[in-house]
Amino acid sequence: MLKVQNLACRRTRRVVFREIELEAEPGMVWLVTGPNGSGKSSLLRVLAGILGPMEGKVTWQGEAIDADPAAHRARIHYIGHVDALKSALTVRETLAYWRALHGGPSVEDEQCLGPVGLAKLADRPVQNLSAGQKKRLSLARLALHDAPLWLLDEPLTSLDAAGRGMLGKMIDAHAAKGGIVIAATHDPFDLKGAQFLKMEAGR
Amino acid sequence: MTNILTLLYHELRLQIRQSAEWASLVLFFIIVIVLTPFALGPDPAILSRLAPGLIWIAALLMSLLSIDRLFVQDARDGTLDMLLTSPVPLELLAFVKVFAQILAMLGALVVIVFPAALLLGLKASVLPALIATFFLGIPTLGLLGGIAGAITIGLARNAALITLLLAPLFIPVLIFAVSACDAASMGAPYAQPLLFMAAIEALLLSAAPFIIAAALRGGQG
Repeated sequence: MLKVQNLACRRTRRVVFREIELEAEPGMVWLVTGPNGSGKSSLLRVLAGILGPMEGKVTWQGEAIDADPAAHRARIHYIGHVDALKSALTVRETLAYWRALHGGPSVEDEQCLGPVGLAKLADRPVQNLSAGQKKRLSLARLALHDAPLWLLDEPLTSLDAAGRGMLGKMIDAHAAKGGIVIAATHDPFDLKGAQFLKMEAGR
Repeated sequence: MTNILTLLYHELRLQIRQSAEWASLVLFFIIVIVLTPFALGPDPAILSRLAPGLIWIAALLMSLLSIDRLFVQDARDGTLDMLLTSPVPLELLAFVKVFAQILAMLGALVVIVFPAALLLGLKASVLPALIATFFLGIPTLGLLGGIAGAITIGLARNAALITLLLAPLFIPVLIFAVSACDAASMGAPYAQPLLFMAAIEALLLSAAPFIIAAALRGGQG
């Protein structure tokens, strides 16, 4: 499905990584690990189509992802390491915004907040949420729309043990449905059957 | 289509919720207007003649200061990544964002122009011309601001660079706006400068969304 061949990426003048190979079939979970600055985030940004690669290619079902960027954006959930929340809005308003941004069919607010444990906080302003609750809200996007490819950048940050368990369950369920998850993390994350991609320290 | 309206509604709601930031810009505008009589002397004839220019300079400074609110904040809080990975075309998202900012700016200006006009003794006959120049000029400033904000997004201290980039581009708007008001104050027809402003606005309306989107994508490299 998703195939990464000989990928290299450059930020300003520094080559962050090169010769990255990765192949993900439906139901696969990849954990990208490595020290700070090894290019985990850059790799996810390339896979999301935000950054262009220096060399190499990324294909989805044999077709390069930059051949039809709109189609690629419709099939991914990219969750960056900053939460992309506006403190002036409530939880419900944030979801409404995401629906409009994504466009496709989506589930009800409660159905999407339930799995992340925020069902009771739907009308609370985002600025009154704790850091962990904000992270949970940003992960709620995964439940809002169906997208086969999840790209998660440091999804464990500020999550408590229960939160980590909840995210693990979401990832397992997604993989069981035939989805693909690629998560970058430097914390140990216990996931059944996950593949590991170890990135080397920056050069 | 409903999606676009939802997105616009969202941006306007954000603008209104963040009205404290607008309040400080409005306060800045008022301070400029209130201080001028002290700097130039209280002669009503001079103040009344200079009023359109002074009001326009204050509006221009206000729109310069508001640029930081556009894409820089979104880049900082991660919203920009969401825009870049949304299936909705980035050109459209950028346009909606700038449009909401322009509406907020016009809304604020249309309210505060009346006390400012009263304070400086602006002739009542000039007021329609002044408001017309706002509607034709402020969108141009907003679109130019959007371009500058998007281009400088990756730079650490971009405020100074934005000002430097934009100041020369603001000059035509300022010249046509003030000449329309001058013509109005002498009872002459002032359609011509307004048409020039409309032409600049039309040009930017068609080009700016594409430039902004290209700059936002390119700024990620």
